[in-house]
Amino acid sequence: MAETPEVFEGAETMNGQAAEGTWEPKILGILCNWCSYAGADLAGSARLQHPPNVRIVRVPCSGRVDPQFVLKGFLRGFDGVLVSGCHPGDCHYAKGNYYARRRLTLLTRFLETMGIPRERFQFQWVSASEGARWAESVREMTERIRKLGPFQGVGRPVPLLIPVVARQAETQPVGVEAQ
Amino acid sequence: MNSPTEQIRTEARRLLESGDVSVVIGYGPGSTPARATPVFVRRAEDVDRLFWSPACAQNLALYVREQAGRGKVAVVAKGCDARSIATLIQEKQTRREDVYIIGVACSGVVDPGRLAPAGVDEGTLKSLAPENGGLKADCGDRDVRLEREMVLKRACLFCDTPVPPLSDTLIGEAPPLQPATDQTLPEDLDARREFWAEQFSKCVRCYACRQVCPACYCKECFTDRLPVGWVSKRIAGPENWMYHTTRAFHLAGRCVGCGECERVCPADIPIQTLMRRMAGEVDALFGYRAGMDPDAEPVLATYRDDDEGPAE
Amino acid sequence: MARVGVFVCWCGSNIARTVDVQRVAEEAGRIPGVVFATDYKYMCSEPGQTMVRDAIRDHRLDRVVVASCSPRLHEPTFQRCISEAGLNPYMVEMANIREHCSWVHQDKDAATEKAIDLVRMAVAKARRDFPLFRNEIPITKRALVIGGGVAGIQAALDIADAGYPVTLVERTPSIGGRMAQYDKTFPTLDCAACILTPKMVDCASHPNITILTYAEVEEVTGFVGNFNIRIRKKARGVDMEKCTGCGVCYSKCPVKVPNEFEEGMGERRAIYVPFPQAVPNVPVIDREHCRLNNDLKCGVCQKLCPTGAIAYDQQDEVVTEQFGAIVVATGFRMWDHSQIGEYGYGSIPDVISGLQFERLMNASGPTEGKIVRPSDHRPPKTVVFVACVGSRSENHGHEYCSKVCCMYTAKHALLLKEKYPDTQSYVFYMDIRANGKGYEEFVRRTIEEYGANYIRGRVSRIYRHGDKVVVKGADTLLGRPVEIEADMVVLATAMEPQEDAKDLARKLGISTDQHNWFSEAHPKLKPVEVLSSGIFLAGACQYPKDIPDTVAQASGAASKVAGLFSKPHLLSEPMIASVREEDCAACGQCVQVCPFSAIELVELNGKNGASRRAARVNEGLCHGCGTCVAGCRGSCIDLRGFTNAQVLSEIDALALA
Ligand SMILES: Cc1cc2nc3c(=O)[nH]c(=O)nc-3n(C[C@H](O)[C@H](O)[C@H](O)COP(=O)(O)OP(=O)(O)OC[C@H]3O[C@@H](n4cnc5c(N)ncnc54)[C@H](O)[C@@H]3O)c2cc1C
Ligand code: SF4
Ligand code: SF4
Ligand code: FES
Repeated sequence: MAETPEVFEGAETMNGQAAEGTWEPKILGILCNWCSYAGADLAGSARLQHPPNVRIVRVPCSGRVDPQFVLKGFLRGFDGVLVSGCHPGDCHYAKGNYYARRRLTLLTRFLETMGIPRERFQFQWVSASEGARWAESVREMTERIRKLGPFQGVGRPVPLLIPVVARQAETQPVGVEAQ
Repeated sequence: MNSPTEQIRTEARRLLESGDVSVVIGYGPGSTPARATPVFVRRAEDVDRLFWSPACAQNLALYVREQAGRGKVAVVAKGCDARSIATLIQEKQTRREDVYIIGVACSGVVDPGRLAPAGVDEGTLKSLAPENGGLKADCGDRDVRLEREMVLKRACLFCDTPVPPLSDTLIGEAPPLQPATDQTLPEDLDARREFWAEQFSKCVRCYACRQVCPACYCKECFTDRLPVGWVSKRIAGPENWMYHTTRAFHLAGRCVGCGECERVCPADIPIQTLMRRMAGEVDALFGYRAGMDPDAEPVLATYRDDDEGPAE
Repeated sequence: MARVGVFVCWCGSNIARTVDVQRVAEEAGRIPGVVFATDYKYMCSEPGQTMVRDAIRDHRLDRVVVASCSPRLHEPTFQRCISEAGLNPYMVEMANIREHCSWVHQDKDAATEKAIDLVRMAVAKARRDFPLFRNEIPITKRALVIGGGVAGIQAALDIADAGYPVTLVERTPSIGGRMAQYDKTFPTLDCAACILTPKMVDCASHPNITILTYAEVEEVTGFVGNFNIRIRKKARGVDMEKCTGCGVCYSKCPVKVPNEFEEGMGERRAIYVPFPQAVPNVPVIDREHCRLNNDLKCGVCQKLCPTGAIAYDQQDEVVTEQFGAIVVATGFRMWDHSQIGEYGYGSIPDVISGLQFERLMNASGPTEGKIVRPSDHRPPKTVVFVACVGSRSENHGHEYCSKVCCMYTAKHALLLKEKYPDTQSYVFYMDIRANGKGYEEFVRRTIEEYGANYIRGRVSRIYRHGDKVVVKGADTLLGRPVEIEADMVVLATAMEPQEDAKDLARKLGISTDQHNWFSEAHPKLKPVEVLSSGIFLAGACQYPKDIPDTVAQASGAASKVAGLFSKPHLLSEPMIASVREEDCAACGQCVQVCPFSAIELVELNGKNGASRRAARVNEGLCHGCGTCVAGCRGSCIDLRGFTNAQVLSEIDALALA
């Protein structure tokens, strides 16, 4: 498959904005084309007002959502990520959302291991007729994240030259408690 | 009863003489008594190159995968190694009928990197042998008693499958061991984020963890697929974070906790703390543990109607 | 370097009122890769589209971003537009700044910021666009219908009438299915044979229909438009060409065995036609019971046959043929409830099934239409009908409703009374489900005009008492126990999928539900399709159905087939998955997750003769959901139009802002 040879090499994130005191939550939305994207369209045609904080990426199906997309969202400094697909049983491709459910429920828990609270990642079902549900979820998530404050980023920026890492002397391993 | 070493040799001889397998992959003595080296034995008269000791740390499933498609092989496997082989079977990287598993019940293997901090000079070490629940190190001038917690490969302390769940012959018996609980990770989420930021800032992206892992069998790792843009090559905290979190996700339902990645990591990153959490979540959510059943469908390649998920 | 043009639409005031479109265009002009940016009142209007085409020419654009309404609305418009200017239609991306922005926000600054972001994302994606194509896939315009019940018959006739050849494969010696066994059909009580037989004959004489009875599908490969199907024609022992259907052979065959068509209540010979109106009217030799196959002397039929049609040594014939579409119409079977022994079925001779009752009522049945007790051949005076036997019962593994039992039970009670006015019937039921045209009226008539005594409640026990059958139960409406001394009990047992449904599903690569009914592609919107293209469902093989629903679905399936065949060729979807075979580790996860069974592992001839495996996507089957892509760690499979690189660049686009 052809791929454009442009290589993205940056590690810039959006976190810088926080300092200016004009911080607004920035939320990445990844929506399946057939239900949730259509639901968001419906919210539009019904003029259901909601906060302008979500940026939507359209994918064919929630089954297309690689958990890494979400990780990448946090890497890039989004304050929250919202993935939305068809309700179980309603996926345009019948089963995509069942696999998505496994992957993303696992991701929700894993993010906590990484220190990213559940509140920053929302995985939900919104059907093509649920414009109001979409608008409500954006409202709700934006408010929630506003309360949490800006995401602090995922990794410490380190100088490019890595100091040689010496093994620390240790007799007792970290955090092990024999039972 | 014959020693595990003798039993391994007898079994290897039988397999090679009968022509059942073309090679026996096992361990031979390494540069010091705390180290073993993988050996490939192809002739019955060479079986004495094989041995068993608490130094047999490597996960030989790695070589089973490399040998796949070249006829039947026999392999010496600890609990974790056998589970790795099962995942390889599940993922079509080898076939059950192509591996003969010489299972060894294991009570933990030594991480030579931890000897010095425990006060043992690997250079003068004469021998290393199990001794009631711990190890005895003969350092030439003196014997040193070593507790498991001090010198074992860290993952071994958390091991709950010392006996291979899958084997064709089994050597030894289940040791009476209780897996420890990993308390490395802080409870507070902010502290956790800080913890990982700190840990991953040490990563030099040498990819030793990936190279040593039997489950990392992609022909080209996502980290090398630069045009796709998953993660850049830059050795920087956030990029390292992306590498490790992604790798953890890629190993969900695959990592068996052998701890080789952690053992070989030059920066001492507690990779297994991450992997163990992931494995725990997979088990909690889907009742699935990697490599326990070679016939099971890989956990993320299947689903159940009543899987946990968002509210309807 | 890509040359992107950005076109920002005002949509009259729809967008321009809340979004500063000029600013958006200005900002867009500064995005790396953008060589032209402008705004216009109505981008989708003819002048708007002309503007796009002109800009493509004047600024040598190779990619276009339109910031306007939802791509679900106008993506096709702009795809057409840019292809008129010579670009590949898939080199356009849309930023949805109306539905997702101007219509839902009021703060102009915030909305404008967001619109700029959305444009950035679209540009980032567009820069990674590449041309996509639809490939032509030829269609073999012949249909295969599996199962010759009323569903299969109707589907075959409709497809044949549309002008396409059809092969109808039926497992038993005759087409007709269950309906051929019935006497009269609810709710109109027209005689089943009178409405079915003409259709069977039409099938036989239709120039476009080939009927293969006593035949089964053995293997299915290929995909929509191009299925290769192996069919086994079991040896009939009778030459179809020579036989004239005179019937001498079976009138003289000395072997008698229970007749399946009569539900075990009558007999047939070792050479037989299952019923007089059978199509084709050519007997088969049941090898299991034929004397010659049991080392006994015989040969009677051969001696008697006037045309020399008997061919004892005929062998099974296996043919492989090409078809473009498949209709599955394999129907149902009755739950064999004798194994459970509940209600005395199988042990008390006068406890029979609804299907057996049909045969007793049928003028060409084992009793020539006289309703008599199997035990002593006396007409019953009191008959108890029990509905929902095994249906709607988790204990019996059928949580579902068999849907037709309420109706045929009413039919039975009505016909019994009509034939024998001095009989009394009782019906035990859970609920009466009579939701079809004329159904409720029919049940009411059975109760009110034909005096059937309907008792709401469960039967607890049925046992023999002298020559009577005692039915004990509870009337839950009156809240009291009931006990009826009956002469005969008729059980409306649950309908079940065919025993080999799962096997057939596996051969076809389609899925079944937990009970093994075939699964439709969508419960509401695609009730006739299955997830694999080119395969359609008709009749009771999907779920219990009555004849009107069966026939409607069969015609639906036929029109789907005709629709498919009316095209010169199929076009593959442009946005489908494809594999980088050189990187594929052949772990098979994509194969496993694909809802459409579109991926298989194929053997590749690697370097120096070594073979290795890799996944390969069948373009005819892939629907482009991308479920496989998200499961591939090595990014060896990617989705055209929504590649990993594209999605990631959209995410990156904002961070770099
Ligand atoms: C007792 C009873 C009475 C009923 N009375 C009425 C009524 O009065 N009115 C009404 O509307 N409905 C009635 N029904 C419902 C009616 O029977 C069904 O609606 C109808 O038979 C469904 O037709 P079908 O073609 O889908 O299936 P079937 O009639 O079951 O036909 C399926 C055909 O496929 C063949 N087959 C199966 N598997 C294979 C295979 N693997 N390969 C090749 N061939 C195969 C079978 O041999 C059979 O010929 C009644 C049902 C029952 C049980
Ligand atoms: S990730 Fe580490 S512990 Fe897990 S299987 Fe791979 S090497 Fe072993
Ligand atoms: S994109 Fe969907 S339909 Fe196509 S091969 Fe992948 S999983 Fe199957
Ligand atoms: S199409 Fe919406 S989740 Fe699959």
